[in-house]
Amino acid sequence: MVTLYVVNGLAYGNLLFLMAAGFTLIFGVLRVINMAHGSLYLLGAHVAITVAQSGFGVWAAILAGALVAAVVGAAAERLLLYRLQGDYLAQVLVTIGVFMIVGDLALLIWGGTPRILALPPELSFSVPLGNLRYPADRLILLIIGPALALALWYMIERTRFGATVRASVDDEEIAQAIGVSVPKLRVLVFALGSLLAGLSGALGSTFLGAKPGLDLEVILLALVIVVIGGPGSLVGSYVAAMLIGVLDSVGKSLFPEASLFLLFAPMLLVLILRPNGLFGRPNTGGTIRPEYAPITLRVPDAFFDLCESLRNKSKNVPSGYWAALFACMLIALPLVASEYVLGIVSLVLIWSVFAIGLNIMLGFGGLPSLGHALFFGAGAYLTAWSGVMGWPGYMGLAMAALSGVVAAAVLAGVAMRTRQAQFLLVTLALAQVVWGVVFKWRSVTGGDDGLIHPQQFNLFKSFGHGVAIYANVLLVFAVSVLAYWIFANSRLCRRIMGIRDNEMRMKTLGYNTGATSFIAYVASGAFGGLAGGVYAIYAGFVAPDLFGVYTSAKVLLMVILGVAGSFAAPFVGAFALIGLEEVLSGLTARWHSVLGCTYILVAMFMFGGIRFGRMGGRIVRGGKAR
Amino acid sequence: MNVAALLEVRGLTKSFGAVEVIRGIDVAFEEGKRHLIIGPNGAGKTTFFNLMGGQIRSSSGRIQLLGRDVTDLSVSQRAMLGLGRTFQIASLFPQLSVFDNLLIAADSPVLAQRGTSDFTALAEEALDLCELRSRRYDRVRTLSYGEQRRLEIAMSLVTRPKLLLLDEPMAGLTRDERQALADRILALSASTGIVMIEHDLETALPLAEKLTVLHLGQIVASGSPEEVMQNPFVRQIYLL
Ligand SMILES: Nc1ncnc2c1ncn2[C@@H]1O[C@H](COP(=O)(O)OP(=O)(O)OP(=O)(O)O)[C@@H](O)[C@H]1O
Ligand SMILES: [Mg+2]
Repeated sequence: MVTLYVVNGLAYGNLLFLMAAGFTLIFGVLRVINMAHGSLYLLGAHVAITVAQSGFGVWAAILAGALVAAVVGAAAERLLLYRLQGDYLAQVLVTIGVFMIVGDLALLIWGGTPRILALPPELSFSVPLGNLRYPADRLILLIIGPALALALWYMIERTRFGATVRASVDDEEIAQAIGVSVPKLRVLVFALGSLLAGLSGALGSTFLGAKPGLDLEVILLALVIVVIGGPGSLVGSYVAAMLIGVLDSVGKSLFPEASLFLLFAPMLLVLILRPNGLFGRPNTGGTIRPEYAPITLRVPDAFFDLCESLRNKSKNVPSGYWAALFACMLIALPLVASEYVLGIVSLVLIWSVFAIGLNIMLGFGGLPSLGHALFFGAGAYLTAWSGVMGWPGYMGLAMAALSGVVAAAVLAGVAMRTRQAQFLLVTLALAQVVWGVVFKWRSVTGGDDGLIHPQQFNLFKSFGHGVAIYANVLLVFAVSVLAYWIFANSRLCRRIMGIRDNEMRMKTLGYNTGATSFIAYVASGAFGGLAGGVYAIYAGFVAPDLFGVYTSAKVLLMVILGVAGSFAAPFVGAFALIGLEEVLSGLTARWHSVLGCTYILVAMFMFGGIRFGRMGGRIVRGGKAR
Repeated sequence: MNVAALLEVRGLTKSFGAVEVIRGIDVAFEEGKRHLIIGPNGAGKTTFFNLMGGQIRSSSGRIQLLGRDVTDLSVSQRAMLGLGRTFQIASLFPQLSVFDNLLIAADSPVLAQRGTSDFTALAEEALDLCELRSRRYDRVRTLSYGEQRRLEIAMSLVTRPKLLLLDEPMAGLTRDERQALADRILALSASTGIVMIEHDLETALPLAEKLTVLHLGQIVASGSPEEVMQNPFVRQIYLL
């Protein structure tokens, strides 16, 4: 019996390797966290199934799936990512945009019901294995997997192409010095990585099929494997994939209760012991500034000058008059607005508090967390449980803020030693894995159905439900803004910004930068947790998606949209994005696609992928966040 | 060693990969003297400063600062002992305003441990010192090269270091600015130990009480400026 599990695990592991190899290749060489990798997998699977159903034969189907993915991946690199070289955060946002668009279009074209590639009779036989029988399609993976792994290894370690790729993994500067055409290399690597994604999707479509949500699961697995194996290391990916494959298969059957921790535990262990993975090396980082190839929009000089002057103003906290005006408007709102409008404004306020937290970390601290949903989710679930246990609402919120702090301390513990792209990877991976655990741990979290809870606010009850919720949200918002204002004007905040700008100078001035950064994490976590807690009461129920990458991406986009690091960023961003979502979801059923485009556009504009130019001709980067 | 040493180094080496950039340095910089380090480009001068400041770690050897072995101390720990430095390439906080830059320096724990509390006044003082009052609220990245250099030096002075390492402070300044800086350094040396790297011998040499020449990661001469400038090997390097 155990043999079967192990063989099963090895077959699965080989598929995992194929799934992750492209992701790790792209991350290792180009430092791009390609969130669209899951989409490319899904695309490969869907295309393969469609081609097979049209009667072209299995091999043609697999080939088609792989090729379509390769073309889409290469196009995304050439058209979008190439223009944002070196801006890791901007690139992730773009790939999240692509992820949303592909997912939405796949739903439109292929529908929401799971599809599977039905094997023709000559391939759907099983092979005897001891006294059991084993399906051939999975057995094929045991042959194709190692073969492809070897081929890849040969290509990377033994060919000229591989030598250039390795050179640029080690040092971009050297790569340029020996005359490698970086743009060409980038497209090739992207095409190859995407090909692998499509191929694994097609190969897996005979038993994993294709369905909405599979793209996210693939990303989760790829992240875990890359974090364990080490970025850019094929050997590491193979070892990690086998480990996860066997652990998953054996674990699920022998210890079904613990199976969810089998992904989490090894990853956390590796993160603590070796932040750069088992086989990865710390990226010493090419100091070279990447060549940008932005799209330049000519705009009237007056507009250009306006953008420039905004860019060069130092952080300005708005005056008391503005604050008083907004306060009056928000307090008076229930007199004029319907419950529906109050609900939406409540949502804006809640997300503002969440975005305040991220602005402290990303805007002030320069720490581009992709795992912010961790704080939000922790706060929300804690509040929900506090309601189940019958605690008062504001106690639940205190618990929420506290849980955010604890989550932030954990995140700081694993992420503080990493830098740049690796930091993004680690924060993202941590949040995604927690999402996975919450998603599957039905008995405690309610699984993917979520958890309906009785937690509520005790104040303002006499005003009626809608107004009462709004009033409470407003109260929490006001307290948060006050705390935020005090923080933004503090010496501590100035130190945090100093570390963002120039950590070594801070050390040279005698500062203990580690301790100061830690405070940025923790403060950020408190706001995030609190926002999550309020959200839980506002919504009346919590679901694993609160921990998901969409949540992190949404708050990131808000802060970036509002110009990270400015005092008003959280408010501007939350208002703009929640408003946009409301409008879009009313206008079109394809609003996920439109939102995806928004992600791409915001990232391109804010990070200089699209720049403004004077009609006269001087070129400058559009308002850079950070 | 009979005079108390500001800075003393024994058997110091540093390799980047296979390249040995500092190749066994033994030297002591005594208190109460102005020290000048010269040497051709790539001699390892900045690397030597980075090793003193802790910005990079030595491959072998021991470093003593102000009478303490600091070889295993971090950058901030060394700063707390009273070490300050400027960087050859201005190392500021580009997104923050000029005044915020100075406030960060004035708010440093180095001063806090000595009980200095009015850091705003210190920053105001420094703002006048570097003559950037008119640019107080401007982001540092909008400053000109010369302004950034002035701010760089002002920042390192705010913390009142006991030993100050200056890495080519004259580079890129006008003749008048250089002379003004030289006067400032002279005045400063009454209370602060100074070790300076400089290429501009015309301005810097008159300041120096002791001259050390670094060449290919080794000290080739050290002593009074007159003596050292007579050294045939030094004359050969400098084509005198
Ligand atoms: N981080 C590093 N990695 C590899 N080599 C380095 C590094 N830093 C310095 N070097 C090399 O060490 C040598 C000495 O550099 P250093 O900057 O100390 O010279 P310098 O004497 O300050 O020169 P300059 O007068 O031009 O400032 C140079 O050859 C340089 O290329
Ligand atoms: Mg130098």
